[in-house]
Amino acid sequence: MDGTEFDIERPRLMALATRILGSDADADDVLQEAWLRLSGTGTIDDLPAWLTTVVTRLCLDHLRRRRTRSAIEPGLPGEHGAVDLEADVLLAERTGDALHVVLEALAPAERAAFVLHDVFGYPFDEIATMMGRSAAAVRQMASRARRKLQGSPETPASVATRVENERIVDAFLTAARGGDLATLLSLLAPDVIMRADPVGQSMGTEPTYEGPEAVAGRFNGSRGALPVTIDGELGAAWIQAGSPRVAFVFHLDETGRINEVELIADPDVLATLDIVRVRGASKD
Amino acid sequence: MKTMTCGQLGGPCDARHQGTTADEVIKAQDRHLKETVAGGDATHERALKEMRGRWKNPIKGMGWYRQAKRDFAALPED
Repeated sequence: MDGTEFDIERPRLMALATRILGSDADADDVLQEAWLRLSGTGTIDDLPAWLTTVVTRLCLDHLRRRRTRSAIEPGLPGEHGAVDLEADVLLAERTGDALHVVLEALAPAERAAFVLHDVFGYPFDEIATMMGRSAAAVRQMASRARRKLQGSPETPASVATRVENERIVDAFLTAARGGDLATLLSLLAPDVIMRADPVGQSMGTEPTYEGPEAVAGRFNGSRGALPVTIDGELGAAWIQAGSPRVAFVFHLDETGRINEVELIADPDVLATLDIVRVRGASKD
Repeated sequence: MKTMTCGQLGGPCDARHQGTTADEVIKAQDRHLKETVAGGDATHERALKEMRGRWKNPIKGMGWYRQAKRDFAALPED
């Protein structure tokens, strides 16, 4: 690695990081970190893909930390900060920076998925690899981002669905803890699939579990997973010493049954996720 | 565990960075430069600018990086 390949990729990576982060200075920091990581890494088969993945994950981590800081220090840019969005958009339109302002209203993962897909045209399966998530999950994130950017408010029906989905996931976790196989099976869609990331697989989990029996069998009797939201989605996490070790993201179909579970154990990916503990009915 | 100073990594002071690899001390130096400059220390600005410039000139920057690794490898253990 003599730096030439990084030099070739640099303009593309800089554009990507600047769009996701909305700040040249922050993009500089991310690219420097990516360069340092590359410098310390051996042979890489597909350097452009590797660099895009590293830069995307560093951007997500940066956004997450920036949002945490802005929550502690109101006034810093960050999601849902105490900003006058309308006034900022008017100002930004004059400076040609309107997209950056509206992107601030998105959660980090939504923002990355939206920029990668809608601005840079990456297909969802490639974005899924970059973000360490499933293609279905990143498609939903980009869609949610688009809805937010269009200013579409959450409808009463979608609020009701979200509340009902929370109840279903809570019931699933309670049944898992109690070893209630019949209830677990009743909450899973016939085509349910659970996918484990490579780190999860190295911990002994199969790459995929297909069908209600396989997924229910994986969770039946499983204790210790706490109900959380993961980038705003319903999930559960094993948390040790305050840090998530394994996260499960649940996706539900239109009939209100769980049809996909993502198992995320890769610490680099876990570090980019917004995992928030929620009060659930599924306590022992 | 080995130690390199800010001065050995192109900076102006004797702040010590410990690490088991050259990457660890280089990253520690990067953090040190950012923190000191953010704290208003103008003497570290040039070194920070140079550090930032390395990824913008990655071919030349890689030479600095490899030299830092060689220097680290030549150091005795603490």
